[in-house]
Amino acid sequence: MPQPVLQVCNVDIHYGDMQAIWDATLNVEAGQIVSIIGANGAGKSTLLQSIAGSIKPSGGDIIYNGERINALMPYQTLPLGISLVPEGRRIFPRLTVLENLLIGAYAPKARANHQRILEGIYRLFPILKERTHQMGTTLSGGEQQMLAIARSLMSDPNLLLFDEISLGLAPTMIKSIYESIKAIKQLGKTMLLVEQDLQRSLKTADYAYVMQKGRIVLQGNPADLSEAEIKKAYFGI
Amino acid sequence: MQDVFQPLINGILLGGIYAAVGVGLSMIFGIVRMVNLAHGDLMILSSYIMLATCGILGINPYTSLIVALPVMFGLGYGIQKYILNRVLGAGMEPPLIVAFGLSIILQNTLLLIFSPDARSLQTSLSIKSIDLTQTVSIPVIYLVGFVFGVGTVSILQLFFRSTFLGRAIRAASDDEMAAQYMGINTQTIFAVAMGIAMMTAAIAGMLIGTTFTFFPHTGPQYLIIAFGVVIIGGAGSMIGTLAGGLILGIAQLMGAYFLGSGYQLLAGYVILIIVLAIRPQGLFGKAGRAA
Repeated sequence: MPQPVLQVCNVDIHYGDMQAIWDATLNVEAGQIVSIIGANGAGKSTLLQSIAGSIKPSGGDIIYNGERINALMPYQTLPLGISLVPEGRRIFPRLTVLENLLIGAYAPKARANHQRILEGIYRLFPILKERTHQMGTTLSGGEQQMLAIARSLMSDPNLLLFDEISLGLAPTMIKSIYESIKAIKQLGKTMLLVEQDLQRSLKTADYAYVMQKGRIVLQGNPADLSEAEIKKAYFGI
Repeated sequence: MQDVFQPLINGILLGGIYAAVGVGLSMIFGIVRMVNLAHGDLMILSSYIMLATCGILGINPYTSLIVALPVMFGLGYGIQKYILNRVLGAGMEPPLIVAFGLSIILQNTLLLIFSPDARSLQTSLSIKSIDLTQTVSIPVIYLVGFVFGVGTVSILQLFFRSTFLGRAIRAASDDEMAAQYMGINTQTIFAVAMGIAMMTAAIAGMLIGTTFTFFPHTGPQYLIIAFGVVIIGGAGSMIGTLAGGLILGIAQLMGAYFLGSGYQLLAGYVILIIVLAIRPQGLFGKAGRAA
């Protein structure tokens, strides 16, 4: 059996004296879409940010392609092939759409191939080509989300981490974003989604983890998990 | 009436020099969000580095830039990486105090090494002028200063717009954590930005040295000019820096022409106060944050 791309093993995370994550363990296989779902404050984003390197675990291991990455900063995890699409998009306000995209290709490997990657991005998100010279923050919320995903893809990552990509978007735009996630899967990318949108997330994922109050309380193939089980784990009732 | 053209031309040319004086301060203000109180002293330090280089190697001040540019880049990189980065994020005061301390150290070190005597960087261009009419001429040293000033700002503008490193610096100044998610080591980027700002300080130091006289305590005088340029033009904006330099230069010399030489500095700062009152973020700055 091939080694998972990402292994999160017994991870604890503290904010000062307060523990936010207890003993979290999850695996992500190559080419899979794995979803972490849970209510607001369940610890999903904290766990995702610890994988990206912006939050340091206080215990356990985060292993990416066999390498322990607990102590790495985000600028060190990106060249390894991990790219985070952050919550709230965080588009650079003083950069145009094209400049935002090119920033995604800052790492040397991506920089060398940025033209080829950019052409692929424009095929995936044609609207961004039309908006090339607009300032990034003048786009609509959905277009900004596309830009944030495209910017992460510019680094040609192996593992994409999505933090609350549907938050604050209109239903039609959410549908369109999830269509692009399926298209990205066809490119052979591995993805880890953090979502509050239960239905959409489970429909897309190959495997799901449900978090509640900092702990992973349920996991499995979405098709095998019953609605009652998920709701109980999600809401804790 | 023709007499007014002379101070106007001189004001425009002086404005180009002021743009070089202000651009480094503006960059660091806009990117690292830090007021580098030592910027004036670092410009004067580079004037002394060029003075020493010219003396030792027997070269002219313009050629001595070959030595001053990398030395000042290294110094700026080191100061940011090993001193200022350690106090960033701890509020406004710690970097301000560190820069102030650096300013005092630089002034006194220069005083110890070079004595308090006024110095200048000698060049044959200092006494040359191009006659436009019988009463109006262009002082060549001011013209060279203008070309260097405008050239520096233009190259920086191109650098920030067209290179991966330039865009990374702008991104890091917009959102440090998001920039890290893009693979940018923001601490190193800030050090590189300071290194580049110090290269502009080297150019400004050369222009100050070849156009005026300098001594170990001249730094704060040019820091105030740099502040004027940044306040008028808007922090972090290259176009703004150029506009700020030109407006300050023209205001000073036209003020001196119409009101008398005693009013030269006052005229510049009256304009500055007007800009502050009407547009506090500067002519090309963005409201609410450094541009």
